[in-house]
Amino acid sequence: MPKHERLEQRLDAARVLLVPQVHPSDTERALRRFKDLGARRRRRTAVAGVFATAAIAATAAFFYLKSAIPSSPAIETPAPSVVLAPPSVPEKKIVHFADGSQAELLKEKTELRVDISSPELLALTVVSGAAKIEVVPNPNRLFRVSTEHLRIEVLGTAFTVYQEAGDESVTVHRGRVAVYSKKDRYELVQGMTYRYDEALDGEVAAVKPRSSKKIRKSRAAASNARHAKWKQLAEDGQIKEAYDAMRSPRSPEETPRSNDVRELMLAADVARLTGHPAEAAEFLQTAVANHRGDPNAVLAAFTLARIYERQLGAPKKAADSYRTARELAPDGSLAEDALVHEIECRTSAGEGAKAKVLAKEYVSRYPSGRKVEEMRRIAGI
Amino acid sequence: MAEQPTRPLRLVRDEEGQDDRDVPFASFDDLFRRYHRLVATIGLRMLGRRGEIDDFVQDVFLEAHRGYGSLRDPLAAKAWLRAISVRIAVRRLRRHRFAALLGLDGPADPGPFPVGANQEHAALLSEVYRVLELLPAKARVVWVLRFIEGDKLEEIAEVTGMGLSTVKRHLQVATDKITEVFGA
Repeated sequence: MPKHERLEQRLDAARVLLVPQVHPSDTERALRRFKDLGARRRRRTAVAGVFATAAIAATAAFFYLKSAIPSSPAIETPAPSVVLAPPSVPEKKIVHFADGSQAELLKEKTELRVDISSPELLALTVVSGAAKIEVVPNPNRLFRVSTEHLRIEVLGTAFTVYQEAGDESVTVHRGRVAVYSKKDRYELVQGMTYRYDEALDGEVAAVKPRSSKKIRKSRAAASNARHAKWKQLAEDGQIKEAYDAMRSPRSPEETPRSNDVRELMLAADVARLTGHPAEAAEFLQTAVANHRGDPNAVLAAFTLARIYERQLGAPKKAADSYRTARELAPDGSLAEDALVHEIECRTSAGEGAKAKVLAKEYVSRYPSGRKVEEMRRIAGI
Repeated sequence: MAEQPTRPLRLVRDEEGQDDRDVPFASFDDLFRRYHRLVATIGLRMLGRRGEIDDFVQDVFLEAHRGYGSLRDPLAAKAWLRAISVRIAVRRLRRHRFAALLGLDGPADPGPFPVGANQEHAALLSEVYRVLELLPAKARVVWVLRFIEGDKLEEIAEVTGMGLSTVKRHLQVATDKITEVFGA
């Protein structure tokens, strides 16, 4: 293999280290600095412009007054330096909902339709165009947005949905969402985008007729589970009914399956939303223990930690779960938050020495992190 | 046995925050927030100096602010900002080379890297950026766009404003130097 190609391969793996840690608070700080510097530059430019104009005008006046020769041309005063002008802001089109949530219509011909509006469920459809949606957190109400092939369920977050030819997608700006497409469920966190791919969907339909008996059998079982009553109710937004069905199954097939991480997380959501955090924690413990290799395990560990921390008052268990989340994805988007929360929970649990060591790790790992000053204090550096 | 079908959704943005589609923005502040991380990433990769990223970002957005009123297609904001970033990076790299000639500049180092980072990768990057310091600014920028950012030659030509043959020439200069230093 040529020398440079070997280097390319090594660089491909290493380039992940060339991504700066940028937290939203860093961006806000940079924006504030930009505005301060911009204001100073405008003042300097304006002052320089005034002086330049005055100097040139004085020079012109000098030559005009001194000159007795009519043919001497007048020196034109140049225009003052351009001052930074604020950019124009296009008018925003925003739809407000009664609970404080809002949808910003990003394109001229965006059409939103409200399908259901109840104390437990607000369901919209993006018929066409694009909308950026900010949802006010409400554990008692499900906020659902649908497109032609996708269903997005949120619990307090900001995301953008596209429903256009060749572009049906959702991008999460803050928080997390669950996206459903046929039989699949995806968890998206801040910074992730998923796009519906019609070519792949066509592939799903083509594979089915060639299924073997084993596939047919597992698909039949999957079909039974898919139609388990509690799941159907949860997917329809009837969370309380889903919880009751989950706890009173008609058959063993209708209990959440421990070999399906997505089903476990849905069950955890149902339990959590209906005020049963301990049961939610059980589902998430199973998800993390049995599916450590699944990308969803990180989110399960993080959610479990939050339940321990905020709803069950178990800081040591919360700290251990945050640690697990970090171990599962040390360079993931949740790693920094998980470390911060682990440190806080270790402190609450009376493990000050451990918290101090972790705080040093934070300062080393995230020198520009949003909590770096606080962590320096904890670490005593 | 038939293979299980792939899921009909695909992830188009990873943790690096790169998006393969520009979303319209409502104001310059919105533009800043949306692309701050992108510009910071380009800055780190081009300059190889973490301590300089903040200033680099300020320079890029200042130039962007000046030209904001003439940006005709908001959906092309990402490509536009990348081009500005590359221009600013070339300018800064030339200043560094000049300062280095006068003995007034220190070596580039893309670190410090996070605790727990793969040490072999960290060492590789430190060495690569040491070698990149030996290159002319444009050759270095072209090489970084090709092998760190992963751009195709045509994309590099577009973002740098160079002709394709010029891009190839710069890339050859850079590749020859790097291959010479890294050896087998």
